[in-house]
Amino acid sequence: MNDFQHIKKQWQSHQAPAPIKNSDEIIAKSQGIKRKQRITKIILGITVLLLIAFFFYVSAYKNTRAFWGLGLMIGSLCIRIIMEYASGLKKESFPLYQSMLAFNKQLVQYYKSRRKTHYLWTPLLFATYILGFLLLLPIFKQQLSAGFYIYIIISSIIIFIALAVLIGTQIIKELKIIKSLQ
Amino acid sequence: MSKKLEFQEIYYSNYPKVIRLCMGYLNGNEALAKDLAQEVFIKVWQYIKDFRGEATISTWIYRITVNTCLQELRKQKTKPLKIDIAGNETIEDPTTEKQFASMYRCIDKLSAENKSIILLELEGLPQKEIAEITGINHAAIRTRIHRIKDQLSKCVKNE
Repeated sequence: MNDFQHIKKQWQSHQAPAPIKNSDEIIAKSQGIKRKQRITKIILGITVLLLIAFFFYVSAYKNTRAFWGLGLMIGSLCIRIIMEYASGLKKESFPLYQSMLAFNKQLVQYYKSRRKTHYLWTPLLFATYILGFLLLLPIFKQQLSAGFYIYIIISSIIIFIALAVLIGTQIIKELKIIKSLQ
Repeated sequence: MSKKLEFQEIYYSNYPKVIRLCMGYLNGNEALAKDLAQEVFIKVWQYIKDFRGEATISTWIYRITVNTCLQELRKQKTKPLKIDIAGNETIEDPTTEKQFASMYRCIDKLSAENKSIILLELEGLPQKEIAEITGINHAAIRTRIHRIKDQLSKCVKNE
């Protein structure tokens, strides 16, 4: 018996651990995941609707600056939410029962399209969001106290930096995945 | 046979090979492998309606296992996995325990594709089925298995 046959024999003699859940629990878990996905869909839908409703609630359309400022912020945010959701759905739709190479090929295509999102759409939408915020600043200055105005500026800068770091981390992570797939 | 009963049969008859394969991918980490095996069977239940019988159910499940495990490996790439053989109640002999640890370590040194090929070979699958699962042509599989076998044997010997 050569070395590999010995390894193989040992491997096959390895008694597999017993399952922690029975088949009914697996089915219940699968149904739970589907329920959670439905809830996520509803929450995202409500978020988008609330953002649009907020635009009308503050009567942003009555003031040109507020219209563009809030419109750009809400618009870019809604577009990004919808894009992210659609992208998640696309990835979920790849059947795992295809061969390893076919599945990898689909993943590579997917992450390449994600790269386009990261390098083109995300910076563009992020810049649009900041532009919208900048357009709103004179209104804030006019209508809010000096202290609160400074607070808004400082907290927004922190939020923008944190968002940029978060997006950057996500991009690096996905680029690593592409590299490992090739 | 009801869908649930059919799944029950698939689950219990395929669980041992799925968990063994998952452990192979995860450096022998039993706790993580159990979670992953659970994820595999959740997918099996979700996709079972798409099973057309073009391949055997076993090949079909192996494909889901390989793709699910590779996805998990990509996620875990930054975190080094800890070998967890000691927690395995099924291995009582410390020498066997050591041998398994070195086997897992050597498998872990292989590339993701080679890892998949050799784990399926270790399970005793015919090369034709390995080719069907991986999507790599039969002739290439034969050559690669030969090369990985040598690599693995040398590694285990030197451990």
